[in-house]
Amino acid sequence: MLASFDTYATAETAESLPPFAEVIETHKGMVYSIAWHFLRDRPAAEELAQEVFLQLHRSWSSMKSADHIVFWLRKVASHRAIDHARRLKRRPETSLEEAAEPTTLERVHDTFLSTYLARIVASLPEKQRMVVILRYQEEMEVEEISKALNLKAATVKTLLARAIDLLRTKAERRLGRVEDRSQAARAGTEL
Amino acid sequence: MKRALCAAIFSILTLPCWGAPDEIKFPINFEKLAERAKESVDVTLDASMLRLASGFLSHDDPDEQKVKKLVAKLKGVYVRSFEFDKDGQYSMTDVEALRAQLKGPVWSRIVGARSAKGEVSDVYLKKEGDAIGGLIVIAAEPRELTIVHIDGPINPEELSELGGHMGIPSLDGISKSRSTKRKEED
Amino acid sequence: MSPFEEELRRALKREEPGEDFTAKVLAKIAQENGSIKVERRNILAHLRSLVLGQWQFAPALLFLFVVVSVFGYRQHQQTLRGEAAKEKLLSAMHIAGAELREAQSRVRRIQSPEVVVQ
Repeated sequence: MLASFDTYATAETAESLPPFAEVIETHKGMVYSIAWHFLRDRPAAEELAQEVFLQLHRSWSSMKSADHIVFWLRKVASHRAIDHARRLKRRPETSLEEAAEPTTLERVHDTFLSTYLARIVASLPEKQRMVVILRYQEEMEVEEISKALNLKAATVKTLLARAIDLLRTKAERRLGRVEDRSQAARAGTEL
Repeated sequence: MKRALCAAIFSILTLPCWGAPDEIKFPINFEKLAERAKESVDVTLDASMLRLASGFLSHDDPDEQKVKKLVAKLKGVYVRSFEFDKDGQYSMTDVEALRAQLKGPVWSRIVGARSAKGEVSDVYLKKEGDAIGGLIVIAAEPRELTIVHIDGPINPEELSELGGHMGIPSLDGISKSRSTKRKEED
Repeated sequence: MSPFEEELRRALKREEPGEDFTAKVLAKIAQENGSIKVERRNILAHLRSLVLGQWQFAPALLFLFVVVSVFGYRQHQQTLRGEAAKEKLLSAMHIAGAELREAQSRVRRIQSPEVVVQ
């Protein structure tokens, strides 16, 4: 149960926090990557990441611990990225169908798979997209994702399952079975 | 479904109202449910807390502005939500004490859905003259119970569109199996 | 994790922003603070001239300082309470909206909903 309001209002003694510049250095990759994988626009991702840290600076007095900072950064970066995408009214699902066929060379070198997967992740509906990014980029558990995105855990699980199905179907339609490709890439053969 | 909801809202607004006790109280045994629950959410925001909270909603965030507009005239927002780790940790008799307060001319049930899996969704609206004066949602699954009480004039349509707030898109088209595991951070 | 999920993890590995990212953030913060500092300096300079020119008002000014400090502390506490209340409100409204939608979709899913219209 939640603490009573008066108890909540009393500021907790924060553990000693790292210097702010160090926090930026440590976590800039995380924040930038959330924005980049979500928006697929590097200048926008960098600007968004900067804004997140500016906001962190303004909220610095309410940070309680290093873990709290990480949670806060992930949560704010996620929400800002989603807000940004909605403001641009970007719905890149059609871009999946327009995605160029990979060349033979690209298939053989399999790095295309990573690029292609990243692109089709960016074409998912916003909520699914962020759930996938937090799960596979940040390796967050369902519970952590549900807290960060203010979603129920069951919703997160459903979104994740559907996203994986969708991504796998689309990837396999374009590139063949992913497991076969992975094995072929490791063996240095072409599919 | 939206049309049915609108028709239901319209029809109850035209019913006569004889006045009834205003205050809805959560049953005392809800405290016992919280002790039994794996996770629980308890939100109690009376009018003064709503005013306080509203003052901190962001001017730049369109979704927070939607919330601000929705709560502008509310007298209170109350949520009790419990998630249990096994079936049978609560029974609907726990909810009956609440339902008993909703019998009478002031409150009308506009949605009552029961599924074979034991899921229950009830939506009640309170009539105040020609307007809606409150809303109660009772949502139950075998391992979860959620009660939402919004006291004051509320637009259910706008409220149900609020899934987009805080940047989270609405949940249209996504079937949900609810298993709330929301634990607010203090 | 399945092979596909491993590929997804590889595809979504973290990347670093530009090299001057930290410097840019710190510069923006300095810019924000600078505009606040100038205002504070002006206010302090003004108060200083008041105090030096009107030393007989020192006790009154001291009293004012105490009052302002207490007020400042209370404001801070109020801010903490307000932010907490805001978070609760947003969560509550989100839950309410979600439960309403769930009720609607449940009625849709159940082919013969018992929609009670009174």
